[in-house]
Amino acid sequence: MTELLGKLYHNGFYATAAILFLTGFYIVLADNHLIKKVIGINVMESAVFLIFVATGYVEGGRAPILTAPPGPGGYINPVPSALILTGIVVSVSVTAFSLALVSRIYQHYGTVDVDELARRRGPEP
Amino acid sequence: MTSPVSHLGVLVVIVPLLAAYCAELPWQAWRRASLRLATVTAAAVFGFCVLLAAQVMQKGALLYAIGGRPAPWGIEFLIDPVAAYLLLGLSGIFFLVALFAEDELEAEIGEAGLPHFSALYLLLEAALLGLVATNDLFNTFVFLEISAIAAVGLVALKNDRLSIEAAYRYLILSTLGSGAFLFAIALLYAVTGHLNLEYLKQALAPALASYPLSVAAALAMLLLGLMVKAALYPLHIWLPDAHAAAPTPSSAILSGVVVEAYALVLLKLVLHLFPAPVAASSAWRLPVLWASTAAIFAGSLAAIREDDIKKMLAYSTVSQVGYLLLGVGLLSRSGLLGSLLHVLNHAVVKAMLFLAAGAIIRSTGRRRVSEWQGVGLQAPLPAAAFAVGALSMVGIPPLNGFISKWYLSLGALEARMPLYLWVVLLSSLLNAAYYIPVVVRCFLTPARAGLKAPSRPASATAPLLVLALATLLMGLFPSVQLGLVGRTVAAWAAR
Amino acid sequence: MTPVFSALLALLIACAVVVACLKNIFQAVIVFAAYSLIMAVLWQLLGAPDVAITEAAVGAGVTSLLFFGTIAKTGGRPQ
Repeated sequence: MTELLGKLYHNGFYATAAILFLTGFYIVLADNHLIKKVIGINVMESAVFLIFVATGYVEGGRAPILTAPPGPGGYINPVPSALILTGIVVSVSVTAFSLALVSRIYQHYGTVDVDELARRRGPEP
Repeated sequence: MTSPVSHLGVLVVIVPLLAAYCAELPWQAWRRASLRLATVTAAAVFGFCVLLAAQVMQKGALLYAIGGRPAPWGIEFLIDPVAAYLLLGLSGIFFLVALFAEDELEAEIGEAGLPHFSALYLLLEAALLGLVATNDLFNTFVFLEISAIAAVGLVALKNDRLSIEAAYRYLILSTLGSGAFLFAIALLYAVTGHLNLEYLKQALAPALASYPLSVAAALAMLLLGLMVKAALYPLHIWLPDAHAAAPTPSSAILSGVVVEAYALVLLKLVLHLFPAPVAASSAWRLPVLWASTAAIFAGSLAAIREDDIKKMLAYSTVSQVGYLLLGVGLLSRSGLLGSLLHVLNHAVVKAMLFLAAGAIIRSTGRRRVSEWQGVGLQAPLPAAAFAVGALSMVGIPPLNGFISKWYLSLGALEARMPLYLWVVLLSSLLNAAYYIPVVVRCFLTPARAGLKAPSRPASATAPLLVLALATLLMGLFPSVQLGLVGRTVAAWAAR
Repeated sequence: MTPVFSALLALLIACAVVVACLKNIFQAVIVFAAYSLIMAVLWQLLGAPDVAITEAAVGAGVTSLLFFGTIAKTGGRPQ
């Protein structure tokens, strides 16, 4: 456990990403607002992207654009960037889809609140 | 790399993917034709899988580097005998369900929904076959997300309030699962610098020595994320509503193929990514075993109480996921074999049960099993298929459900955990407690005064017949399946 | 870990916590857009300009528009 805490202290990116991930997770699970849950998912996913970027980061490195000369630390690792670009596209499509479902739910029930939704649905038939 | 045959491995993903776009062409006349397109594409993909399996049988495992870029830089598909076996089985089920959908679907979602169904269906097929074939961790994530979006779309198609709400819950929980999965990928990439499963496997043992906590956290997140996706108890809460609210062909695919594919990914990743000391540790095996046991019993108990047939089948799926992951937790040769065989055995049987239930509901108008008296006389063929499936679920010997339970029981003994032998045996009784009364009510009680069954077109009955036949044959000749996958599984267990 | 990075990371956490606490969905979306922008700046500094510009355009731009559109469609308030 002390090993973990020490590492977190020395590596702010990972620690921040973990905190952001948990915050997003908390929003998704605890918030009653259907749209807010979707925000939570976005917070969570960009936290993961932060880890990827931090993984590819090289102290003093430069973006791997081959017409530009490398920085004092060479180039940063481009693979994580490629992964995140894919990830961002995925997260936007999931966001758009879930928001579409939210507005459908609103059309059917007239509410976007989880408790209210359960009340309007009534007891199980 | 010139003959098209050498590209078969990737064609099974690309062809349905391209066809999915064609399915959404906006012409009115195209609406019904799009379903035909789905069937034809699924048939073609099944053909590819047959050729692929023949090739793998002949020459052994097949590696395909996408775009000609080899690993570790490019994305790699690995079609080993196990993958070939599953591709064959899953694409076959996709074809049969599409055939069924041609006659049954329009009554459920209307003509305007047909192109959407076809597109999502093909997208789902591409993603799931890709999941089976891919040998790359990030590619696995992408296919997981595509399949999640397509599967949620298939639930939402009916557009009534229950299915929309179930779809939203499914999407949110599934995304939580993939968030955890992506987090695990980020950590694993940070400690090893690899995404290819083979390279990860080699790099993880040394990485475990230097970063034990990061690797442990990554593997825990991986397991957790996939357990949500595969709906392992108690993370199954999204499943019953989603699977019951979807239109019949969607339910058959969701319960019969999607959940199984996720369980298979879990099995594959456990075998690749857990270095030997971690794989043997009870820190993850015991929770998986307990969750599987809880799933088996809780799912069955919920199914016993359920009167709505589709909900009952959905809860039965919750309990069957327990069997799928029991073998992963046992991690012995027969246990793994049992889980692997159960992937396809359960896929065939559950798809058949949902299709049969859908056909019965359509011809009699009765969703509640308590009203199924004499249904066997009104809709003889679907009811007979339902009976075959029900008996297989219980584990009656000549049918395929028995085979997987047999190997799971053996696996429990091999792993020296005889407790789980009793779990398998006792749960069979529980399965019998809700399946057998339905069958008895169908055939042995006099019919209520009701509707006369409309005559079924041949294409709707053919899938049921083929699936019932497959259930019987897979049970009668288990040696065919064992011959395909036995050696690979033995190699896994000997690791 | 330079002070700039520390400050940005602290801001990110602050934004996320504020999003979690806000009851008004409209304000939450605005703070979330700020969160995405800070993330984009951070990534630019970390040498990933292509990702940063995508995040600014898609994460802060398109996603916020989607949220606002949905809020407008669903009446804007929790009830």
